[in-house]
Amino acid sequence: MSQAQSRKLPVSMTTLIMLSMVAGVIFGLVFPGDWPFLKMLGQVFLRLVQMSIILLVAGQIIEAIGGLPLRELGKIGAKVLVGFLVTSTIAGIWGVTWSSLLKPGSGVDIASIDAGDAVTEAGTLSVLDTILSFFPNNAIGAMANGNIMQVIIFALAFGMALSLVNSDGDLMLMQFIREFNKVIMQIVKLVMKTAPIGVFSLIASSIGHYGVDVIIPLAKYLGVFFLSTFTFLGVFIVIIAMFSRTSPMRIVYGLSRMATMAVATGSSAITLPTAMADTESRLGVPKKLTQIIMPLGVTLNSPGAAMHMVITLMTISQLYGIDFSFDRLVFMVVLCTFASVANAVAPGAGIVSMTIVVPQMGLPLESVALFAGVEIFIGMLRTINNVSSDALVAMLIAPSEGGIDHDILSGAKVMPDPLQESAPAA
Amino acid sequence: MKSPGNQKMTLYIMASMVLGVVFGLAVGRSFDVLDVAGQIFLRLIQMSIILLVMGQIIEAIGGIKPAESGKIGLKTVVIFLVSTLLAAAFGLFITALVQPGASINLERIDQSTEITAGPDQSVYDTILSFFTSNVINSMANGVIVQVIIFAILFGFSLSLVIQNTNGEGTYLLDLIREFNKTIMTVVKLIMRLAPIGVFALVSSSIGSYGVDMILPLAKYLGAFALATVLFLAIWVTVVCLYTRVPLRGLLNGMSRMSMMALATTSSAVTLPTEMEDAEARLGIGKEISKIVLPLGVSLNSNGAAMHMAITIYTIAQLYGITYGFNDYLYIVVLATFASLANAVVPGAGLVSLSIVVPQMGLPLESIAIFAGVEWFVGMLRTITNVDSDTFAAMLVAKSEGKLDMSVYERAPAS
Repeated sequence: MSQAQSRKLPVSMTTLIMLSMVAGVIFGLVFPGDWPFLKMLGQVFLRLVQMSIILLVAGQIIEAIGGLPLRELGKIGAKVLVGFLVTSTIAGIWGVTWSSLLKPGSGVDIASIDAGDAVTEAGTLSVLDTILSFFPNNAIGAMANGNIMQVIIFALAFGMALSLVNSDGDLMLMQFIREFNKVIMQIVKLVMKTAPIGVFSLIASSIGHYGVDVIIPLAKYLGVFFLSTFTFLGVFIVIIAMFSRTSPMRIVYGLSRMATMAVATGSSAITLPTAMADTESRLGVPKKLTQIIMPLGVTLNSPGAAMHMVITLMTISQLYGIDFSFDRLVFMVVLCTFASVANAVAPGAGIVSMTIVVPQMGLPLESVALFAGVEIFIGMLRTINNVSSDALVAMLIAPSEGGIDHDILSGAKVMPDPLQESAPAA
Repeated sequence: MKSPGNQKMTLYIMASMVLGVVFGLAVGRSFDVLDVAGQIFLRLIQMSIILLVMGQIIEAIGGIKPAESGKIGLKTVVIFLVSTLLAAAFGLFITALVQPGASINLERIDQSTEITAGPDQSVYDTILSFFTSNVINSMANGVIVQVIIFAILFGFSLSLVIQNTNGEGTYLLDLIREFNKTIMTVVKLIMRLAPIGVFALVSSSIGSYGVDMILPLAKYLGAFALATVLFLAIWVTVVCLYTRVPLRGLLNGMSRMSMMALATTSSAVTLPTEMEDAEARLGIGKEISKIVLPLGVSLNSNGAAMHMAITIYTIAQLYGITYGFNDYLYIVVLATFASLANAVVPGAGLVSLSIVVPQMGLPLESIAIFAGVEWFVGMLRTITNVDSDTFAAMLVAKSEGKLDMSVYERAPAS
């Protein structure tokens, strides 16, 4: 369906969003001032994205966890989940570190009047209270109040229970939730069609109001995100190389094709076949593991998304001159780690992620407008990290589950490319 | 439904309570980590409560076939409702006499929470507050009575729709059944953490309040036992007077299912025995027992209502809160309605309390201490639940002329 759309349109949606951002910047510069109508239009767009967020997140997580064969996965499953969780958490911490060091959002101080409601949110809670605040005392109440973290905790529990109940056969409830998710996803897709208008309105009104200065942090922000992504992957690769006693270059070679694919498509789902093939035939991970780990990784392991959310939140807080206390940072990393599980495969996934987490940190939602314009680069960085980490986690787990084939990894034995196999045979 | 791990779990919970008491006494203070761990456990139970209650009631009522039950069904439901209301009220009465929670006075930790039914409210306001103007709002705010009233109507409408449209609507009912199974599994998963949670809660409350907490607990169990025995005695008297069956024959007929209820603490497991004895030893016509007894398992839980009423009142006494007439009315209605959602899970007593205690503005941590005696509570709850189902069936059978008196003539001989 998305192919049919792209055939109809001469330019892709992400390009269109970028163009509308440029148009918005020009408009704001040429006609400075407040544009209440445009501001309203932009906010309508954001609300339309936001309104389904709770249902989207709850549904996605219930489907992802509920669809796992928890009973069968057993020990490997536990290892994989821990591997995913740790990777995403570290990616989040990594993002916090880089954005606190380089401060992409400082320099411009967006009128501190707007920060009024945000500052009150950042009260001092102890770390224990922060942990307690993750748990809802009423699932419906958490949904009504839009407390994402609590909704995620409930959805995880519900998903686990669903997978246990569902082990006997295909449950009607599971089918129902799948259909429901499809419908919600369709809503998001429909709303995203108005993204060019929404982004134009938001950018035009904020440039008109604040001037061109707000653009400068955006370049810095992309630089920080870029740096953070590649240092993270670099360190990860070196650790795996030492762990599996091979040269980092062999791993880089193994990852190169799926990474290119990830950059080109901006979608970890589309990259999956390539990622599975290369993890097996270039990185030497046994097929029985790649079959379990890689598809799980598409939904459950999104360190790129976690890092993206953390860096963006940090940048926005710096733009508004807000300092997060330690417990707020803990909350943020945990929030982004869990929210990355609900990594929706929708166009504009970056915008959707931001509407999930930005209000949770007490930051003004309009601030995501700026970042919507560079969605295409964000998508690339997110996806390359998501896909590569899946393969690296697979390599991390392989030694304890039958071992890595070192002949394949070192290049001594060349496996036929599973993706090319079918073509000559036919 | 009763898994063998169930009994073991109650044992673990009891052991962890004893450990918690010992630890709390040895240390003599509370720890933040334990406090938070206990609260997380309670929140995990609480989070599904609204969905659990709603689903259970819709499934129980939605599954009734109105055409089949008809006049018998109406009589049954009225008897169930009246007896459950009386059980809750009787529980309050005994608690007021015994005052199990009066010997010590705990400070209310959270002064800000208001008691739901304030003393200023008139009876009419209290009754009005049972009804909601927006069901989603009631769910989000966790107003259980309002949610239950909606669920009863929804369940009843569902059963009518199924009846009127020749099976259409069963898709929804099946979906709700699967949903309930899933929610029940969530609760079961969380109940695996009960030993840790109970240890954390008990040790921190004993740590901060000392051993004095134990005394009210013993009195509380005494009060509950007393209320149960007296209430069943009243039931027996009423049934004997109305049906004119001999007292010995009645007690003889009730004995086996009562033992079974005590042993299994599950009315669902006791049901087959109950059905058999109701017909063979008590002479209840099969067409009556077939409808009344299975309905009773989900809709008639005198024991659960009494348990909730007694526990709420004991906790209020512990915190030195005095209730007015409206509050008593509210408690009785709340306990009666909440007993409809009598879930068949391990730790059912704990789940019930986490439903009703926050509704009265009482601190949820206070239920920790009661979790330790879950096993005794379960026995008392179940014997009343089971026996009252059978008594209700006898009343219905008599009024329908379906009570076979001949079984009592043989009874002394056997």
